[in-house]
Amino acid sequence: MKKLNIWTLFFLLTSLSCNSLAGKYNQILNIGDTLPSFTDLPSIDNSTLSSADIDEEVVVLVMLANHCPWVKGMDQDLVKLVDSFKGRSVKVVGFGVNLREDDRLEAMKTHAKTVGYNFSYIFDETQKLGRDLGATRTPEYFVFDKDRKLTYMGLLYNSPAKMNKDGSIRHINGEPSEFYASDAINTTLAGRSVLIAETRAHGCSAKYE
Amino acid sequence: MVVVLNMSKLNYTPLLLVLLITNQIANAQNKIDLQYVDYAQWTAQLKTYHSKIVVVDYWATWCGSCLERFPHMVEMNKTYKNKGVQFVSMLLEDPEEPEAIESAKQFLSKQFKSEKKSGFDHYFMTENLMISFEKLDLIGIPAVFIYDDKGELIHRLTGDNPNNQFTELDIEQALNAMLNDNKTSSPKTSIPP
Repeated sequence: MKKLNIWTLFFLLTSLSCNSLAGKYNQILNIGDTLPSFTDLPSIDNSTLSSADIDEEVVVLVMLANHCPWVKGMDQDLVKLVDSFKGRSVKVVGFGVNLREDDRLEAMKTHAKTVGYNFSYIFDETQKLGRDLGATRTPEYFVFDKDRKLTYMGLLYNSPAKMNKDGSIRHINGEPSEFYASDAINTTLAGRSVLIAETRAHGCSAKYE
Repeated sequence: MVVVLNMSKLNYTPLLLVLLITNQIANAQNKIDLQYVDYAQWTAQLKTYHSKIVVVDYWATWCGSCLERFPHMVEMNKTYKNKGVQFVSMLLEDPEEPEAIESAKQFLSKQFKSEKKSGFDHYFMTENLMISFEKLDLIGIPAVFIYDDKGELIHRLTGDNPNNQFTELDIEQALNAMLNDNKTSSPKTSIPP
């Protein structure tokens, strides 16, 4: 009986410690976890980017995929978000991990130009960055503070938008009223805890090979 | 005597009408019956598949991976439908987008073009899209849930963990294991001594 109790306790502790590694929705990262490092990932401007190169106080990583109607539906709002933090110490980095041709680097360059991306956009052929972040949706947002600790992950706002075949855009819940990512960036810049730190990301699946 | 037909003077209208009607009849025969359910109706509906293993494929027309997977589900249905397995598709679209639902119906009709009585049931979740994901506790699709013949959720195959993605093979392996378990654990008819 004593043996059983010890093992029960061991499994309980193990499972508790495993759960603490993941968030409510994200199965890999939790709030407070450190930014997974990345090195020399190719960018659409023909340069490379490493996490160590980023000097800004706040880092925002956004997983994107050109082909995804949810990404297309919210592209312009992402561009507006980046614009709204112009002149402040915020680095926004879009990244792609899908290996299908229309999501790869060359297609990323075209897409970024077409929609007017105003932020770094890198491609990780190894898919490691996406795996390390536990990122499964496109678009999916990750906000890190000056110590590179995760303060927010999930949706851009509370009414995801999809682009239809005719180019029209439709929000699921009407006009967005809660701007999770933007609020999280502001709060993180101010050095405070983010109130809604994790939301259920909504969008296309990242395809991990 | 040589008869020369002046093609330009022939009236093609009746022929075109016949072709159009034939095509419409063919399409109507292939038309997929999509059952509209909210979450509560869906959970009740699941219970009606008693004594069968139920495979639920969650999909949408905006989900490229779902569309790629669907033909495999159609093939799997052919393999397993006579072994006590019920295949079900659950469409997750924005209920305010009738054109997306119509496009889904057309996709399904094409998938089952050569199989009129597939036994594969098709549903559409009428809830707000984000509410659907919340109630089903799904982060994304494609996702496949497999229930045993008592209605208990046994396998929850999702892409929620980048390091643990599922393939068609995982679905088949799960089904084979469940069918084998049923063979070994099903109550035997008692034979009087």
